[in-house]
Amino acid sequence: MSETILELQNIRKKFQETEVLRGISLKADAGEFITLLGSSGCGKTTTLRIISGLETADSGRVILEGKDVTGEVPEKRSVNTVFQNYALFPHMNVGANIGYGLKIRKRKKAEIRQAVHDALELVQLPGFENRMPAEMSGGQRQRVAIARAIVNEPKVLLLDEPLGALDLQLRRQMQIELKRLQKQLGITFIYITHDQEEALNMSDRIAVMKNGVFQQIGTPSEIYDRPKNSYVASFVGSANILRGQALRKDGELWIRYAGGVAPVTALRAVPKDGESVTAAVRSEYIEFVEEDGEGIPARVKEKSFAAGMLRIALETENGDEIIASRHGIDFSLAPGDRTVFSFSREHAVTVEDRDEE
Amino acid sequence: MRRKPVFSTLYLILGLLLMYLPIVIVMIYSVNESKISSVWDGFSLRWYEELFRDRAFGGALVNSLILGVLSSAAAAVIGTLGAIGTARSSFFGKGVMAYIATLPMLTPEIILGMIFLAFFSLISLPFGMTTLVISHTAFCIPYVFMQVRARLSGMDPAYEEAARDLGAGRLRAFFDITLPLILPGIVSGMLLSFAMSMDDVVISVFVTGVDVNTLPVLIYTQLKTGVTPKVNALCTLMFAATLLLVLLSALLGRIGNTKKSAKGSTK
Amino acid sequence: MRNRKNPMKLREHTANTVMLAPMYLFTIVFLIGPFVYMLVLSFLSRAETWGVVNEFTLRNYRRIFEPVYLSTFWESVKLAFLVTGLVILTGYPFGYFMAKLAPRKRGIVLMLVIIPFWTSSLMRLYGWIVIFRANGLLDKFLMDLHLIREPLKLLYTYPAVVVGMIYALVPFMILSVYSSVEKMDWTLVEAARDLGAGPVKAFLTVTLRCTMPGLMTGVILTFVPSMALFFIADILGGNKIALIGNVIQDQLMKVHDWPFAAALSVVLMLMTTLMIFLYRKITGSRDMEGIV
Repeated sequence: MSETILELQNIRKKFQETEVLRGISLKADAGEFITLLGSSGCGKTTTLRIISGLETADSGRVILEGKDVTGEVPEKRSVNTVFQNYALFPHMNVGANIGYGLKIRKRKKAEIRQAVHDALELVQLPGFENRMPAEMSGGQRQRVAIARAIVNEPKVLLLDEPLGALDLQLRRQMQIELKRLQKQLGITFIYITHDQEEALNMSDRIAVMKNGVFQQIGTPSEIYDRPKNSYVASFVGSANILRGQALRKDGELWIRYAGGVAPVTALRAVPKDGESVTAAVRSEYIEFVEEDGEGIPARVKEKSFAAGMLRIALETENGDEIIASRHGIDFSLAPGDRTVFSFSREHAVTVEDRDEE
Repeated sequence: MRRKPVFSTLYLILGLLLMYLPIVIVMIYSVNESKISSVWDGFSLRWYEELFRDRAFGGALVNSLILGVLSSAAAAVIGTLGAIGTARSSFFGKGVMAYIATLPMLTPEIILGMIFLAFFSLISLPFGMTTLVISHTAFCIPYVFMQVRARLSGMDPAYEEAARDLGAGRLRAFFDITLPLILPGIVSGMLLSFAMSMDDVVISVFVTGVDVNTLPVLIYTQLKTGVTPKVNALCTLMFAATLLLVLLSALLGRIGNTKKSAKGSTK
Repeated sequence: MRNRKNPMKLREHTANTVMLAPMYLFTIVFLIGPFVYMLVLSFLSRAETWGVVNEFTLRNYRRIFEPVYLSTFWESVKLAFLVTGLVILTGYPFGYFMAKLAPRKRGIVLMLVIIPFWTSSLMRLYGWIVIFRANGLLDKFLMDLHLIREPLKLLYTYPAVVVGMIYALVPFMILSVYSSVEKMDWTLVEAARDLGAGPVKAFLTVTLRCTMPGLMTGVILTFVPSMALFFIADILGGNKIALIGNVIQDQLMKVHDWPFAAALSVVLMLMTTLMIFLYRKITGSRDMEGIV
């Protein structure tokens, strides 16, 4: 599992005056599922296009199977892409679409027919060879796009928001199927999405991207539980960000924030007393304590109900908004009421308050 | 709401009838024995016989066909390459170029005739087939250019990228993906060019030589001077040829489709 | 650090240049060149008998202001406007109704429109001669119905020229309107109806606006030729109706005053360019009003 199949070394890319990629590096192992997670415009699609060769990096190197392919044209790379809108050739039927890559490699007709047949079985569309892309549903086209890529047995499969155009239910189903396919084939997947839930569900590792830089690369649990900075914490799992001062009390670390005090865990360097510190706490870990208990005072701003959770917006004394969430709809406080909230030490972690540059 | 289609259907039928009225009249009189067009003297193929004996018509027909084929083919090559090049290049003058390329469509034909006449005598190019082909190619290019450009602008660049990603070189991707997708545009632009060339009077009148006559020029002269019913016969034959051409292009399109699915079913 | 970006871009650039070269060359030599020569020619003098003398003069342009030529220009513009207006009125509904047919019928009607469009325009003109001729088909038909007593003798009259032009140009309008109506998003019309617009209002505010590009193309393809379709005026109008096109043709082929013909062409060219420009401006501003 530790053989490096793909390596990006300090890739930079500029379009006109805007720097889209500002020196990104990444190593992907054979059979690994890596997700590039970020909002639109963060540079994730450009990264993918540089790996596939459809775009050339201004500087830096792309190494595939130990070979430098930085200046290589796309057709010479053992990498295939599942395009965002599938890009199925509209004038070819499904069979011809899937067999295209093999035809280019001058495989025998019978061999191609067999491979196309097998690939269609694999994506659960057996017998669809003669359909035209226009005659199929979005989900089916998605499967054909995947089949067209994997039939060439690439070392790395690049997927550019492949599930973006599908509805929620189909997306969930396809997540499971893609994961199964990846396990079965043992191909390295580089997967792009802006959906943090999708990333957490499927990936071996996630690379959170912002402004052309990887903010943090790690396993889903590392990213979720030990976010490196406030951006990662708020983008993945939408954590509350508390900016306050460190307070050392009885050898333990606390945060002084908005007229209150709450316990925090130092993930990395332990801050000195009085130093400014930033903590991330997820909404489900916000607890309400007695009015005179230890915690951070706030006022209930509004209550709303979404996706089986009660969402409570609180306003602290310094004007920040803190989101708390609860299962069920029973919550005694009403908008306008004063309250005090806190959280247990293990659920609040310190993060850096600046993006990676 | 239900009454509306009645009106629109009537309108369409009436319009089509009016469109075909002059054509049908010419066809009917082409088999009229009488020399005077408003008198019906019974069925006869006399005018067709006379037409076939007339060498001037034969020569003009051959000239028009050669001219149509050469200029529409030249326009197809130049216009298609130009449209692809314009779509891809980031050259600063491409907007100007696109405008200039369509200029012949926005210029009254008589001006085109005038400038070609003046220019060809300036560079002392002898008037004849060469000058005809050059000027016809010039006014045919926009038809191909615009058709192909419309096709290209509606095409997702990801198709060609996907082909490259699957291992096709630049040239291979062009021939496998881009060309088949813009082919209908090229063909329809070319057929339109051919029809335009076969129909052109104004420009041809100016740039044709003394010894080269095209069919439309010949008919025009006849209509102006004195008409023999041979023109009826000729026009009928030309109409039949057009009909054949339109049906052929429709059929070609259909064959193209069935061929594709047939190719698939052998997989 | 290796960087092979430039060679790749260069290859692509070279390929583009090679593809563009034929069109650039052809256009510059055989289109721009002649246009420039026409401009030069219009400032030169005419030789005593035949040909051109390289002597600068403004006489050609001054001559255009002679009443004969001014009135010809005026007549041409009037006719072009009349024809374009009538082509819109007849062609737009046709294209619109055609696009709303069921796909199968639509294909057939489209084919039926294209066939005469591709047929020699002279043949179709000739049919009209037979119809319009004194004591021709139209006269006989109307007299048989006792609608008229005397033959109308429409051939070689203004209405005959107008009909001939409409007939020759209406397919351009039909086809361009058709293609933009076919592309229309009909939910927009439904939305307008849903918001309380009547069918007429919905048509004016949504359909007409959405099909404006097609209508505009049709107008340009009608208006520009109708300024100068000299052979229709020639054949259906006899020598009675002289359009600017006829004057240019006479100057070129009969009088052999090329510089003057060039000057007339330059003015005609300027006029059509101006019309196109104005039309775009006008429709553009109307669009803005629609949004407000």
